[in-house]
Amino acid sequence: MAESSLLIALFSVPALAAIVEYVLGKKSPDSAGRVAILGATATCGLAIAIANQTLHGLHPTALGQQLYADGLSALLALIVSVVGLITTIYAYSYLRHEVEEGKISRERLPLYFVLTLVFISTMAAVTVTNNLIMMYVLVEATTLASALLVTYYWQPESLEAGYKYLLLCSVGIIVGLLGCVVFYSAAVPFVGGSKAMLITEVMKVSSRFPPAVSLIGGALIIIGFGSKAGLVPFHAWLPDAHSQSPSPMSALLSGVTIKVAVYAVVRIASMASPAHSVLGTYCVVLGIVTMLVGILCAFAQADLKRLLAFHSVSQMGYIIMGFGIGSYLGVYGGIYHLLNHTLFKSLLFLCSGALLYAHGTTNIHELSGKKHSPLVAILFFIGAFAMSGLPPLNGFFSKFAIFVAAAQAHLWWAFVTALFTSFATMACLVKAGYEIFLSPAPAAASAPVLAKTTFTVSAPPFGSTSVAVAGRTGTKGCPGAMAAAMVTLALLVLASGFSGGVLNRLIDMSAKALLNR
Amino acid sequence: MSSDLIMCISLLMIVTSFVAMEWRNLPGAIYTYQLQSVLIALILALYAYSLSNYYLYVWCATVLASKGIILPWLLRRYVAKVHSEEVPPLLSATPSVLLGLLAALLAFCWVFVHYDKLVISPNLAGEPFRMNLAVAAAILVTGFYTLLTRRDAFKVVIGLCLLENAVHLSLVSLAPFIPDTALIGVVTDVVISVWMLLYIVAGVYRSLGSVDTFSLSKLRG
Repeated sequence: MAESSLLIALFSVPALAAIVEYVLGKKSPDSAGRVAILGATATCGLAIAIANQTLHGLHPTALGQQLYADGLSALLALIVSVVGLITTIYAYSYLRHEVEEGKISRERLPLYFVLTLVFISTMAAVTVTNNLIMMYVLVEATTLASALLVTYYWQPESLEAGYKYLLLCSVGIIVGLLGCVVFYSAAVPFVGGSKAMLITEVMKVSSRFPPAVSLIGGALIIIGFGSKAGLVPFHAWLPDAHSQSPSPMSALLSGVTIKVAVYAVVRIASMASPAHSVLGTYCVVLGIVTMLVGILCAFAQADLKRLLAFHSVSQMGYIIMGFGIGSYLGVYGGIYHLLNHTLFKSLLFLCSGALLYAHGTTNIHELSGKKHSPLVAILFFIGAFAMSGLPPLNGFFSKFAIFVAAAQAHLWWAFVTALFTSFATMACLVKAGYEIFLSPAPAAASAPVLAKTTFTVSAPPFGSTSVAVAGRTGTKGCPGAMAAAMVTLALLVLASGFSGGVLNRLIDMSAKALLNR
Repeated sequence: MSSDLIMCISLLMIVTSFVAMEWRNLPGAIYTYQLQSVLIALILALYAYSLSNYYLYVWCATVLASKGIILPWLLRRYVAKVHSEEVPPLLSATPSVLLGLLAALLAFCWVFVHYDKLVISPNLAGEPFRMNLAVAAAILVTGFYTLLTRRDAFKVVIGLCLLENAVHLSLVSLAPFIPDTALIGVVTDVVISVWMLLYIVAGVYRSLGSVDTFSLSKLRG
């Protein structure tokens, strides 16, 4: 272990940037977002530096081991900062368009970026905290920071979403706190009061906990923090919150926040090793139920953002199932799918934002009559195929690892259900993608426009490039910053599937850290 | 002596939970919640005295300020803007109390019987820790029961406050030597989450003209 101020800077920098953004935003709302992009970029740099340290075998600590980073922390910090930066860049153009459209006032613009920076700061802090109780404090802080972003439009629908989000997550996380306290109390006789707060210290003695303590503590953690991760039956907040937030926020919520909650679950529940066989089976069953409920609900959705939100529920099932299997391959697959889901789900939500930007709706039936940017269509299908687990995209490799782990553990019922859900995911997304981008427009809408399939390309490249299929009506392209954000995510989706290298090492280190190897 | 007093006060907390849950008059329910918070502070002060633990006095002051003063003040402020009578709950008073009592009793007995399996620290063996944790479990179940059976958004927030009190009481029982920094973090989160929830509920009331959580779906138009 080595002392490193990088860990403090990881969450202090975005917090300071939030203060500067607030002050500047008060003076000049038009400048909103610039400091946020700088702050998010700096956070990204810090996360890369921390990842570099862990890859070289160092485990940086700070504040007397209150902060600690291993492979898993570094991976999560990278996820938070990279997706945080990409969505902030995207939001810069996206929200200005909403100001032009009169959806939000100019004065309200800085608020989004201030809250986003606070949100990134709290999530970054979760990834490096080594304190059991502070884990609760910080996970709850992520909820508080994001609740006002869910209700950002302050419309009746977003208020309902915000109420559900704040209430269900707060209740869940309180239960998580109870689990943390159970583990703390159990560790005190072995390591003493002050060290029993440190996750790394508790891990060392967790095998000596009585099975009842491990079982109850682990169950409270899984139920508590799992509610924030969108696990069934505590997922009711997720579809509303994801669909009512501004699209870049939806990407951040779905791509990152629920992963941070999963991180809290696996980081602390991995202490429950004496009760692993029971808790592991519980996680596998929970994962199976979550993926099935998620996919069944997704089929019933007419709104693209709600559909994607239910897919998030479904995909969380794979992740928790991987961790529940508990073998190296299962945990490896769980972590890998956690990373992959961050990338392709953020991409898909940003694509839905681009559709909303262009056509003012995310209703699938209404979108089916419109012309769309081919770039958005291609990016959507990259994300959709990756989530479906189509080779050679990243989702295939992580799901394959989980399938093999289930087969090795002779959990054939879980294997078959997960495989079925994967095919259902593809069917659901291909259906939605086909209807939005490729299906012929309804007869009523086709009269005044093109009669056959055409492609028109004109400058600027992302602005008015459009695909017109059998009588679709016109489109409004998205700005370069939004397109660049989406393309970057698509490249990351491709890269994380095709190349192992550094990511593979980080995932390997994360799995070993969780398995105490 | 102080051990017996702590046990009596913690049992009184179960009574206050039921009164806060069942009292249809919202200001009355808030006063009862306030009384429960003061009782927790009193338990902390007694622990501080009997264990000669200075930090518990700080903890006591923190609880008194946050749960005894700030949260009830916030609740009263927002309730005053809307109404004083609770939206009728799912169950009428008698079956609600009976069902709630049964659930609380089961939780209490389970923790009381299994305490020795759950808590292995010799410093926390026996009374009043056992009784406190069992009471915390009973209040926790009462809080959940409130969340599930009440339709009034303010009552739901009071249910959340009861849950938080239960977890606080379990903190005292399981971790009386917890550092101040962690504790202040926990209390700050609690205050901000309740305040934000009340802020959103007030927004819902402005949009819907009601705080009936069963009508929330009307917000989707």
